[in-house]
Amino acid sequence: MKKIKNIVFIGLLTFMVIIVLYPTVTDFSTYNPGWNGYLRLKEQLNAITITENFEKTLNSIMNTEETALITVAYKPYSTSELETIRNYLLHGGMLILMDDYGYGNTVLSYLNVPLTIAENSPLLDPFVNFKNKRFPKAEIAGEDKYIILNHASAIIVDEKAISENIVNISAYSSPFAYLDLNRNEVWDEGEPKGPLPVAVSLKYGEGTLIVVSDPSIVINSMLDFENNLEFVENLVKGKKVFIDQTHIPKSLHEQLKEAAFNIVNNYILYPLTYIVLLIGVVVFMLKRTIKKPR
Amino acid sequence: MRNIVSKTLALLLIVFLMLNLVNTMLTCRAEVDEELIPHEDPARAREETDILTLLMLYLYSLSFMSMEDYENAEKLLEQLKLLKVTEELKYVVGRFNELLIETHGHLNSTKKYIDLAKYFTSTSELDKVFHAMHNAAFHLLKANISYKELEPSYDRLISALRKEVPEEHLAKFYQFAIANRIYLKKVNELIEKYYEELLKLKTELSEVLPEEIIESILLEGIIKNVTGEIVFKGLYETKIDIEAKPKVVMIGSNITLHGKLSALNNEPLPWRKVILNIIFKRKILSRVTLTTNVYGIFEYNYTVPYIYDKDIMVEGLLIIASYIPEGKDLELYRPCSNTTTVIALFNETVIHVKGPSIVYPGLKFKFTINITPPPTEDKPRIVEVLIDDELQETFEIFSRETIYELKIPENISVGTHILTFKVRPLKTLSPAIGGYGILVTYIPVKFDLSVTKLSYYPFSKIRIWGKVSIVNGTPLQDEEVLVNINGKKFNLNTDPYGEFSLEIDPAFTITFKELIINVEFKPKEPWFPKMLRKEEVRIVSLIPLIFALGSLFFYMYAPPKEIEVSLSRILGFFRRRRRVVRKVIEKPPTISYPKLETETYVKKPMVYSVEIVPTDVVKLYAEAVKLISEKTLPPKPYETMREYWEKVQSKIPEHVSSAFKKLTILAERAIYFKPEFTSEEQTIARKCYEEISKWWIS
Repeated sequence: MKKIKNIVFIGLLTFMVIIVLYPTVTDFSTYNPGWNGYLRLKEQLNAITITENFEKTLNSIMNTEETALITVAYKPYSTSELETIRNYLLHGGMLILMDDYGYGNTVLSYLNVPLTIAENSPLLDPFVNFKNKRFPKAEIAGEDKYIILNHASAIIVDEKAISENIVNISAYSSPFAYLDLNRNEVWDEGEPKGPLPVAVSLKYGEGTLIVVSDPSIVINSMLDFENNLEFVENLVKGKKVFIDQTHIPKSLHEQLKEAAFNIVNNYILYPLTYIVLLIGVVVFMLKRTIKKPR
Repeated sequence: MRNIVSKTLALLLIVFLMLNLVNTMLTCRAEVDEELIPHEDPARAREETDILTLLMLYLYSLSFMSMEDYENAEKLLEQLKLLKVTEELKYVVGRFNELLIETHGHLNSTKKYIDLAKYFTSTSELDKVFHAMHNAAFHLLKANISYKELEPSYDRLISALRKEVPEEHLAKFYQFAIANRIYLKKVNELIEKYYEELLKLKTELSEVLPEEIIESILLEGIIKNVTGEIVFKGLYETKIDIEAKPKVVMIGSNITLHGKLSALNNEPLPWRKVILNIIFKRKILSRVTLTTNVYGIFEYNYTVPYIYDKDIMVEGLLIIASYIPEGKDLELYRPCSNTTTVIALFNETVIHVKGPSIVYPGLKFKFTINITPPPTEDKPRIVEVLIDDELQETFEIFSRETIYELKIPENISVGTHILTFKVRPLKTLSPAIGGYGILVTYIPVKFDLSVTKLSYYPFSKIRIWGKVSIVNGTPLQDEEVLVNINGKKFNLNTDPYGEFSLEIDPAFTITFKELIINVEFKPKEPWFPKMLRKEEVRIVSLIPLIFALGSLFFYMYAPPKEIEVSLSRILGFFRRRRRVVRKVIEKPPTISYPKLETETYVKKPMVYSVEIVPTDVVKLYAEAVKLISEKTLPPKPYETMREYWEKVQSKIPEHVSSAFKKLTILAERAIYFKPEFTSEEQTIARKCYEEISKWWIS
């Protein structure tokens, strides 16, 4: 029996060590220090990660006008979540919606803004790029600075919205870029040509909605390229940043890791639970000590 | 303390190995997930040239050039300079761009100067016309030179680009490549067109200038002579009449040219030399010097050559008669010239060819050839088949529509080729050319390959399985497949189902290894492509894991005390062996009890690592311990034999203690030194036991 206990104990210990110590490889995860993670972004922006209870966390934010929420829309949003986002914006929050091929349009259509992310259509630039056309270079509006995109898309803005200054274009592609609608990697007649907006902002209620058509501009490996970090830093300047991790697809490892951290944060570090646990341990030990002489 | 360290080390080793395994698995998974979230590691991203865009830009710029829209062509050529090109392609693309830009520039200039020359012709500013023509000719020659280099450079470019194009874009690539080739030909046609225009301009000039001047301003002479001053001397004007009969003839027919040379007052100039030039498209076909008769008349019979150029039916042959005074006439008469034309006709042959546009090397394909006017049994037409201007076959056609079977050469290169059917001329029937671009490719073959991605040494094997079939599913039987695993080669043949398989043991590795497996399909027939697939196999060695688990379980099953004892015993065993050899008796090591029946009295009998071979003395000792244990105390597991004697010494009578001491010493010798006891010693041991036994009974 004791042997089985030992095996189980060692097994669990190994399992826990793997889960906790081993970094995840989930895209856009703040626990991921690899090329596709958001760990560096989190550190650079000193951001708070939302890993569970998205609505509850967003609703609990005080002074929303001093905060910014970065969300990568790779998982669908429920209606109540969309409503929470809307309220957050109406109350002065800044929402940075980063999406290229995900569910960003669900958010945009719920918010009823004249913007659409060109889903399923990659933005390719054979001329102004880094390494190849799938890494287009986009210019930050009004500045002689650039950001490098990684398998990005583009934002289709209603022309009326631009003419009426409802939407401000923050960054746009070069004139040589194009949206590859049929995904044949060649520009065909009728495919939209650059300059195409890749980051736009507009006022929404008291808040600001910023849409970026590529969440990969701030992954660990892209952060140092050109002015990628500076671009995001300028967007959230002086604000407390929250990174939404509830709308990215996660591996089992990521989920277990989050669960472990949540347990530690929510229960073990909670003073009352800690005291109760401590009393329990002490009682258990005393009981054993009393039993021993017999 | 040591045990904790050992346990921790073992545990860490396992954790390390597990992490490695999990890492491998997770990495694989992450790569699969890449399809879900489209982005890639910029550090691992390849520098790429967007070949399709490059070809498309060439296509557009060439098409603009062929339409003489040099402005738009220039814009596109400017864009070309911005397109990123990898180091490997830099030279070949750069060189082609350079030539293309150069050709574009010279053609553009040629056009400008031709237009200027035309303008100045209309305003009769001859000096300026000469100057413009001079420049036009200069740029045209330059354009022609750069074009001559551009054409072979394009082939090199295409073959270099081809290597960089992924399979899925190959069709588009060839489409662009063919289109570009067509437009390149059009650029050549443009050069010819400008050449013609220049010649036409010169002809216009020739109408106002005498023969020797015309000769001097043939294209190659333009640059040198066109700007020279022309001065004519003489007192009297002369005139020359020239007439051709008939004015319209079929090619190959005879015409009569006759004329009259006279002074302006119609006085004939007899016995003068008249030069007759028969020109077609600025080329002198015939040049004869005739002498006028007494009436100043000259005559010449000429057979119209077989020229199958449509211009001969429109512009006709230009006949120029000119008189240049010589001798005493030199200061008296002025030179004069006159022209007439003869329209020559021929029957145009038209050929239409239909056939496949995608062909495979070594295979025969049928082409339908339709010739108008239709050939007959009496008048068959000879047709030459050329691929890229290289003669393949010649055959005769006797009817309007013929189906001809052509075998595509086996050694033909894969790519685009121009297939041409040339109908040879037959008297008044013109030659004809028909054909089109064919794409020589391979019969699409499906090469499925499945290779074990992860293998665990030494338990699992690497399995390579594959199937070769034509895309329609027909398996390719008995074809050769070469498997190369890190330099080790295996030759396999496909079975009737087109399948092949190989199972090999993974290479030895103590930790982790990656193997590169190259599987090459080597077809027997030329119409199947050679295919190469590269796979990586990861071999994870389970040896460290086995060692780690072994040591861990060893530590888990044996309590620390026993482990220490076992180690000491093992060390002692070696020491003992040495002693036996030297026959030196030393103090026996203080170790635990041998495996005795007394274990039943011990609280928890443990595993002993030193095996005891029971002798009579040992048996007697064991029995004695059993008896003493019952009366006094049983031995503890950690007690030595002597310690036990010392413990029970005070609890038993002196004679029994003395007997037990002797028996203990003998038993120690029996266990640790394994001596051969003498019968005397064995008797002593028995007596000692009997002593203890008596005490026990009493």
